[in-house]
Amino acid sequence: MRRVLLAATLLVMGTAAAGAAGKNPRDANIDVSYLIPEPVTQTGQIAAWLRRLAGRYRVEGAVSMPARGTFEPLRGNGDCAVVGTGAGMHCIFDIAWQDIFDISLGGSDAGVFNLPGGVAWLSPAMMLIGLDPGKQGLSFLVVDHKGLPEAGSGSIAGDRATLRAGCVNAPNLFLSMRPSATYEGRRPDTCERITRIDARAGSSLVNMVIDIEINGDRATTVDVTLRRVSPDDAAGLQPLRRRR
Amino acid sequence: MALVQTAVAWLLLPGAATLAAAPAPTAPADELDELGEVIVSGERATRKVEDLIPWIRRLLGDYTIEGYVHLGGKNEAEDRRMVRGSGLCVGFGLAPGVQCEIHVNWRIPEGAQGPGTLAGVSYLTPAMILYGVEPDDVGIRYLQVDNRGMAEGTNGLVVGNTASFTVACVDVPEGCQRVTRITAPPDSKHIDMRIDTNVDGQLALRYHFQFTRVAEVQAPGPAASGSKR
Repeated sequence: MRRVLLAATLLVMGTAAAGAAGKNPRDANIDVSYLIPEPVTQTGQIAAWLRRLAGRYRVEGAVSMPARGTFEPLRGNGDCAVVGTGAGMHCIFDIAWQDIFDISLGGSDAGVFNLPGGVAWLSPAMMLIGLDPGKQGLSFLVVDHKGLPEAGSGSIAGDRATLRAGCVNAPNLFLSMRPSATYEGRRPDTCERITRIDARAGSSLVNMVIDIEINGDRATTVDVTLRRVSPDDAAGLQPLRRRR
Repeated sequence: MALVQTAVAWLLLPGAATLAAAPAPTAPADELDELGEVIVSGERATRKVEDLIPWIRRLLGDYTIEGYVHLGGKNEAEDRRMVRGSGLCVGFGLAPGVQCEIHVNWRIPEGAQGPGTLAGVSYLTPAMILYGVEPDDVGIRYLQVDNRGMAEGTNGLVVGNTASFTVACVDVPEGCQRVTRITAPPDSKHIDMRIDTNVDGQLALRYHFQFTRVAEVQAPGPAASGSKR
């Protein structure tokens, strides 16, 4: 009788374990569903997304260069306003960090060299974004602290806009980098700046990540959190010139 | 042989193209009208970034805007609209970059029809324009976003005092091209802006704005940023 009871108990436990197998996170066969953000291609929806950016912001974040292990905090402010009553967005940024250089004290490479994104190019900078209905996306232009422009196009999926542009003045950047610097096993050849802006409806936070890719390899990431400030707090921000 | 060499040298002279483009005195009046749109100049586009900086600095200022719009692109009196407006162009950064906000308005035609700007409606109430000195293509890059949020921009070349930009119309599906010419002479308080919209090679719409500077806007000093990239 005892043997029968023990067998029955083991059978029940075994059945229960089998039923729970699908919930075991260590189970290699677990069902995983991935959420793919839906592309936003309708002009009205793109416009609605752009309007989420409007506001004044305090900015915090960091510049990191993973290959070098460099991490530099950044601070500043931003001000984004719609153009008229439409969907265009105009932003003024004043975001600064301690400039990062590649310093070599000895050997044949001795000297001070530039790094992609090492200099605080957003202090100040302006960004203008508008609709490109032909491409069902965005056109944008960023003019940096030197007055140099980077233009490109972008798209929106879910709450995220992805903007791509070739780095302005890239040949000069390459020439001013350490001669022995290599990316993907070769000298710097191409440079692309990819900006991802996450803006959820009704959120007080906007996240902006700017990756600088040399030869397709991520060299620098500028991770920026924009925290919306109330009009009272905005009074304490540095004045940003604009006529509305 | 000497005659051929003389002919080639004559063609290569900067002024030769101008002479060659001059209409023959016996050409009919219609052909003269066609040639009226062609501007042939011996001047070359500015190919040095340092020469572009003085030009872009000339855009700075607080402006009143006057001029006219030719709806339909023809010089018909009933299609001509006087425009009024204002603009403010501020500089930032070293070169500098220039950001302009303009408000330009005119009387909208009754029963306005047509795609985008071809309807004759002003979408410049306001419009934001951002300019920067492009070191890679050696020109001036701009992006204009109008009051609908439509963005149009490209890189343009500067020849003499005039920057020219040619871009596909963003609001007209096909065959439409917009040519913008901005003339900013040194030491002048006037800036001339002409925007021609061509559809299938035919002029369909012309804006002619004259900006008059009513107040200076301080250019940012070079001390604003001394760091290098």
